[in-house]
Amino acid sequence: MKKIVLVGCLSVMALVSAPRTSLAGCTTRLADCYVRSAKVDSFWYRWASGLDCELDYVECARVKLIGA
Amino acid sequence: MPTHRRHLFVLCLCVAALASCRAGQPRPYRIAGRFGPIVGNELVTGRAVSPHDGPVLLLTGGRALISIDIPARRATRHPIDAEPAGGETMWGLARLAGGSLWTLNGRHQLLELREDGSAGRAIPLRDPHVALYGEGNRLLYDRLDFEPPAAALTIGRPGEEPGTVWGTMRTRALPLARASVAALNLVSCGVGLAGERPCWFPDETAITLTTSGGVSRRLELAGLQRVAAEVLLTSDNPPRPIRDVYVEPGGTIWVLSSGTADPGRRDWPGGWLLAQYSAGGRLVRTGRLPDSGRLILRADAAGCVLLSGRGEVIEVRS
Repeated sequence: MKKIVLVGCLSVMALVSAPRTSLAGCTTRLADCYVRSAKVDSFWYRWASGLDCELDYVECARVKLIGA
Repeated sequence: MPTHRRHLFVLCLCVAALASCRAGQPRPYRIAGRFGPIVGNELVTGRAVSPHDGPVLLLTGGRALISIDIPARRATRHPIDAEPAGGETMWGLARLAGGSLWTLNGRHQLLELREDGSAGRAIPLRDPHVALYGEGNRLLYDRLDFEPPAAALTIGRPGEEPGTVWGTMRTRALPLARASVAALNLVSCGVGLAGERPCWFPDETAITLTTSGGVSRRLELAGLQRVAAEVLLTSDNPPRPIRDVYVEPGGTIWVLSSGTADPGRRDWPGGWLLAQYSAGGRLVRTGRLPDSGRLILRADAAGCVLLSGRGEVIEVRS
């Protein structure tokens, strides 16, 4: 009986929390990140900050393009 | 020609035309068994299969290792006992021939895992990497590349710099922004149990099959819908021509593709189209899945065991 209840609860939980993507907006985040980077005073830190933006973008896109 | 013979001839032509149309249409698969759910609303970032009937291991973004014993219809979850480097995701799961398990902890660290989720050696990597797979007793790396064209995959033993080029896949110089090009040059690799491992780019309808010795051949796959780069890069849940590939020991190539989702289930992760190809790349069959599939966990010539969009393990047959 307990086993049936447990399986039932898990099934309901799975239905309620039906997986959906929650990582939209990679491009928007990249644009925001570039804007923040552009405000950095030092040339080299600004360049490095822009590079970090792109690394973060690829990490974000990875979820959508090769994640399961 | 007498009238009734002419009618018979026309009828035969119609039947033949219908039959040939039907061969190209997705026909539904049926579910032969299911258990779970074994995962919830979490990203799966790695998979390692065992030869024969050993457990399939999944790595989740929630930092857990899930061991799936398919014949016993059972899954065991082990939380990973390691902090993610720099708050980044652990990505990729490689099981080497000797049995050791490895993942990328962030972009710059190789981390050894044990099946109970405990962590072993941590090895720093000089260059940033985005995906990891096991190939015999070596690790197969997808290096983050901002300067294409270059070798897409490199290989090396744990502890060695992954500098040896593997196969002939090369990143592509595309007429897009630098970050977008890097994203479209991300390489996924599936399971290859017939002597060649399949790998592909996210926007293509082709796979490259490479032997452990690094000899590659490219197969264009019919029956899959190509997706524009802009759609891939800007959609919340982009359709992907190829989501997963599994080459079973007999050489049959199984391809999971996004296909077309049911209305009301478009936000579900996973693909709805399962295609079967011969070892030479000839389309044998495409079929619609009754439930979306996220990963192929096991396959033989007659069907597949999949991780479904609802987190269940489902067995589908023709």
